[in-house]
Amino acid sequence: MSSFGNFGGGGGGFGRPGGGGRGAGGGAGAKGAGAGKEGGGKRYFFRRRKVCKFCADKIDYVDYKDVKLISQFVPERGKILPRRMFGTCAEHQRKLTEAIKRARHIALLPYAAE
Amino acid sequence: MSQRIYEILFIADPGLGEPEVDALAAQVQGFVEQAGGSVQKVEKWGKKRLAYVVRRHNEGSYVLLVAEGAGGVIKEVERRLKVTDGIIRFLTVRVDEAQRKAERRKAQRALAEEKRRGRPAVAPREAEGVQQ
Repeated sequence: MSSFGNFGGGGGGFGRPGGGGRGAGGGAGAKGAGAGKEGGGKRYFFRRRKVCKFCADKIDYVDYKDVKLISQFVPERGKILPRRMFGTCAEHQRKLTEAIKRARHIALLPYAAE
Repeated sequence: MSQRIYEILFIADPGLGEPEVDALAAQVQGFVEQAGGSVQKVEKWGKKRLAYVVRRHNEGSYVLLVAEGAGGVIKEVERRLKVTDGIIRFLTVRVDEAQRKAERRKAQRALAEEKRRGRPAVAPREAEGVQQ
């Protein structure tokens, strides 16, 4: 898995389209700069991951039908978790949100759960 | 106009039995073909629990269809899906763009990997992606 090690340090040197480079920027402090590890100004109990899960796994298409993957980002109450919880990059967060909303429409995910 | 690829996912009334669901799927296939498209794949997921109550049902039979056609096709198909009795929900998604982009990204990545390492890239772990 050394490719992941390079990924973390390299950031931009990929030849990937601009979106991809920026995406890694979500965890730009990846190699331990630790900048922005906590969300906002408040103290949170969660540490966000340093790399976007989708970027790390190299998932290009967030499939609304993939309930297993999608539901990781949706807790019990059914709300969509903010980016900072998981360190998802902006691009993938947008795709994820779209996928979640589609899944909700087709009743694969709830809109709100008690 | 170039061909667009769509995913049509619909939920059938759970009260229907297997053969009726099959008949529904065939009906939808007919819609597509009548409108000038072609069906690439049909997937039946069977009965699943619904995340919330839809038209007083707690579960439904899911069927996925992948179809290819020009732009107008899907509009026509959707119109008919709305009136079909056994179908309680449906969702159509256009996937050709996304597929193409994903393919391009993968290809680029593979190239980049090869250049850097001088050997073919290890296949990345994929989510259940869109299938052709």
